[in-house]
Amino acid sequence: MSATNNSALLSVAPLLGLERFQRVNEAFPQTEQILERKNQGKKVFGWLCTYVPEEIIHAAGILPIRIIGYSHEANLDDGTALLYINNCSFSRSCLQLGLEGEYDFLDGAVGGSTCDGARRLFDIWRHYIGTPFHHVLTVPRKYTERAHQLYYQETLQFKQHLEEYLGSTIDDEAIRESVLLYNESRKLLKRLYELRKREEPPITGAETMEVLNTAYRMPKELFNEWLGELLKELENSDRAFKGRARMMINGSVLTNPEFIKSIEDQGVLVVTDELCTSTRYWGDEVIIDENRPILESISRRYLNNFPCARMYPSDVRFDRIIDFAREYRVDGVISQIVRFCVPYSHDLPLLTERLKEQGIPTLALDVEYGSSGSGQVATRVQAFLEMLEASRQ
Amino acid sequence: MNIPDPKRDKLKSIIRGSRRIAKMTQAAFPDRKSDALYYRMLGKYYERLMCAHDDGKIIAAHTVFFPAEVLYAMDVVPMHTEATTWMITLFTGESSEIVTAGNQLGLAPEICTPHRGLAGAFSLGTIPNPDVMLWSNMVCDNTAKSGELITKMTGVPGFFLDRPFKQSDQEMNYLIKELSDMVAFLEKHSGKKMDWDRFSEIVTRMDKQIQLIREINELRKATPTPFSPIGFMQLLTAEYLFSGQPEAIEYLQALKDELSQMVKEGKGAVLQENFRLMSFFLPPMYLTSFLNKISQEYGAVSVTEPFFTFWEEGRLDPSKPLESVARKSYMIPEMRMYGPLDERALISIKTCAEQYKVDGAIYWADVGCRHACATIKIFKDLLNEIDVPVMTIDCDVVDPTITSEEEIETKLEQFFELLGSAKKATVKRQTKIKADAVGVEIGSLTTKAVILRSDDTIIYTIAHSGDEAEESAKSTIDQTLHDAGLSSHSYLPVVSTGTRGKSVSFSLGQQAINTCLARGINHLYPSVRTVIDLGAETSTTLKIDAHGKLLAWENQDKCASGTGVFLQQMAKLMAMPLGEMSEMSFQASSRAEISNTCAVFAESEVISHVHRVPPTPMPDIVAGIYASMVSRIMAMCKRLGVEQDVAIVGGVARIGGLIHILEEALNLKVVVPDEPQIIAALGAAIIARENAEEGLI
Repeated sequence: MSATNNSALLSVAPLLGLERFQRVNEAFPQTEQILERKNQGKKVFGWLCTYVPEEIIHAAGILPIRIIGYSHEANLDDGTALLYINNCSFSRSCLQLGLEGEYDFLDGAVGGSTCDGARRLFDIWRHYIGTPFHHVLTVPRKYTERAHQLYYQETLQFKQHLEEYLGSTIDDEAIRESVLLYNESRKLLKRLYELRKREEPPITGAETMEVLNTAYRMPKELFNEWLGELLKELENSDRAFKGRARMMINGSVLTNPEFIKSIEDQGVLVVTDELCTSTRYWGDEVIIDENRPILESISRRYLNNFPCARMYPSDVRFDRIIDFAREYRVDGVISQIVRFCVPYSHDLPLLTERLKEQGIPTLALDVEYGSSGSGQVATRVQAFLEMLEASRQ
Repeated sequence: MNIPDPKRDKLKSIIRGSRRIAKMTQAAFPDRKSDALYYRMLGKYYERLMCAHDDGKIIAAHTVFFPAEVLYAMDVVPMHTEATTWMITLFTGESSEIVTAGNQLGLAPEICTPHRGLAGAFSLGTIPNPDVMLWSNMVCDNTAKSGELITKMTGVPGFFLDRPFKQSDQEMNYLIKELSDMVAFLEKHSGKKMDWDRFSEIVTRMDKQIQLIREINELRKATPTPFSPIGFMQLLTAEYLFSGQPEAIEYLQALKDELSQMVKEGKGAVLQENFRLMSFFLPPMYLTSFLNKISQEYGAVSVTEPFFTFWEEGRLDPSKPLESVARKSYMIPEMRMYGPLDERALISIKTCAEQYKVDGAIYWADVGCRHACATIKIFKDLLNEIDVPVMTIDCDVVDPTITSEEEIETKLEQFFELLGSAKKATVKRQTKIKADAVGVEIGSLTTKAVILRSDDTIIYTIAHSGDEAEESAKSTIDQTLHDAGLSSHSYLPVVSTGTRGKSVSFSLGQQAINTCLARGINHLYPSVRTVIDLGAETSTTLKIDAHGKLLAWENQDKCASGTGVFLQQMAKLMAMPLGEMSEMSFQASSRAEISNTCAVFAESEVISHVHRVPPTPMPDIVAGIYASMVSRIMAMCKRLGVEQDVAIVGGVARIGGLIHILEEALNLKVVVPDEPQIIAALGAAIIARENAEEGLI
């Protein structure tokens, strides 16, 4: 049965430009591009959470990459030994990679006080791995003017700490250039997502995940170049996917394209998402306000950006999810929540209710970070799809 | 709004309960006023809450560490959310009703039981709804998130106090302004203005309260220590519920006077002080009286709690009350643990260990608290450096289904045995005359008996444990005597061990299982330093010395994945005997991805591998199952540290395929005894023999 459902997905021509993105993902963390930087004697910093202002690191001449765990469900014995079993598998997976020496090339690690998992990961990281430069930004949980002022101060302090470490200053002009480069990247990703709004998008959810993963695993300059070329290929191709339903995927951190594929294999098409590895990463551009310091334009963008469930009030996030659901005309939302990811599990009953008011049903999946999907996930997606189709008639 | 159902009114139970205890303690110990004052104070807290509306006051529910001083200053009645769930558990004896109601609201198991329980209690109407909800991110994501949920659920107005993570000046200023906003919010909803003079008085008293706790701590340094074994829980409650209140001062002052009198008279909290303990995090509330009893029996007392009662330097300034409560939020001892984790946390542990002359530490690993568990390894490593053994007990502060009294008793006994042997200067090991002796281990599934003959030959029997431990032990020993050619009336010294070892009346001694395992393996393989015991329901890793003395251990028991029972479940699922599975695993060409966190997840993953098109080859699935189990075992081993040689014992040691993968993960060859299940019984027999020789039994 599933073979016929998927025929539409399978008959489409391969996306040639995607291969090099996939190669980067397979090699991560030790990608060719990162190692090349190191060989040139340049510095590489790891950041953990989307609240860390990447542009400042970039402007300092450092390559910022994202600290992430294994993209598959891996053996996490070292991570579990230190963080215990009740911290989320994402934080344990990141720690595992770190303890295995996969991130030994990092010259710095930058995090935020964003959630319990991130906080504890950084505490343990500092104690047992110890990266030469270590910084944790306090990230307010509100959007008030006062919160923006505090975050601006925090961003400023981070920059000063970085300057002290480097023994040189990071000038505003360099920061401005980095902002333009990062904005360009955001624009390109937006263009990619625009294609997904089509009735029959030229790219699947799983393929999109491959592109997204590289966004923070290689220099932005090169990523933009590759993405630009991929967009041309997509815009000129006659690839067209049609699923039995259009789906949004949301919730905890997710990087494994196989997981999305296991959902799409059931005959649905993932057309958009609300994830920190995706829309919550590139969602908003930095709007340069000439009346403010450039750093403040950045800090405002990071605090106002498409929020994580950590922020208050949670309706700000819910409203944006609902807007997205409309823009991408989704039939349902698949909420995947990594076990022990408290912010998202707390929000789930409220979000489900808000979506229900809009006539959008939600399927909640309990997962482990890195999971490729299981038979149970497939069964539940199938049931969800049948329910959607039944209610459509 | 829900109207409390009088039949299920939890507040009344707390009030009645605390009044009763106050009366009882007063009658029993007329010269010890502090206990009665404490319980009267508790009762008063909930009476105030019950009568709040009649008194024309509003109720503000608030999360832990929220500055209640502000509420008292504004004549608003506070309801501490976490402590109220604890009190419900403590005084009504059970929490499953409210926790289940919380689950039914859709709150995931990730959300800790105090929060799930409280949301459940509101929805059932067993405690009154607050008029306003106040919450903060001071501790964790639970406190940051549950307030908003409760606000939406109850429809009451709420205020979220955003408390910055670190404590720079700009962050402190931010918090002070947040606090002013909260004052304005409360003024609006209570219709009463902030009384700043009163606020200053409260801050003066809070400062006094902290001073009193510091003075009490000084008294606790005495040997023997005067304060009750888990009395720190009372100090906490006083601080959480009565911040800057005269009742708290009165209680602490009375307590201090009593303790100081006791120190003068050289009196201790327990009849004979054997073990001075450091405590981390919270023991289960429902076990309070049990823990008091067991502490008295073993002479074990918590003398210091670096992250509960050990306040940092610093005073509060009554002329700046808002600044003071903001500052206090960073001074609280707990905050050193919640992070950012730095030297201050580590130094305070070392300082406490030295100043309070600590023999050992108990880490209450609350499964609902990610913060409390993430620091276990760091703190344990630190304490081990200064030779303080640490015992970790998985538990839940509210939910009694997580850990039973029996389990905790077994673990504590084992720990006290270890501390006891560490205290003895030398332990006699060399013996001249050898005699026949019997060891018996009664486990949850099997009973093992060993006869150690005078010539060191070993005769043993393994049988299924029956319902009656006594019967099982007796029949298994009789069978062994028979096999040894001895009469069933032979009078041999017997030592029993195992989960049900205590219930054997004819045993002349009972020994904790880890001690027996250590002795047993040392007898067979003196070079072994690490023992991994893979039993039916628990896995344990032990560290031992060259004489078979137990040095430390690590358990993994709150989760089925990683135990023999898990393997049996998997065998059922694959419809294949355990032995066949093991053989098959050697043919695997790769290992299927199986969850290593949760047995329930693992089960569904195995099913999906079996039914996949094309299906994952059976050998790969089996190898994947073993690899996921090995991952859990390795996490346990790594927490303890592995030293060669390594022996694997217990029933799971028979699964060759799993041992193979475990060896690969350990990157060394392990020793598996020919009969891995009898090691504890053998150790018990060795101890029985020694005791007989020393004339102890």
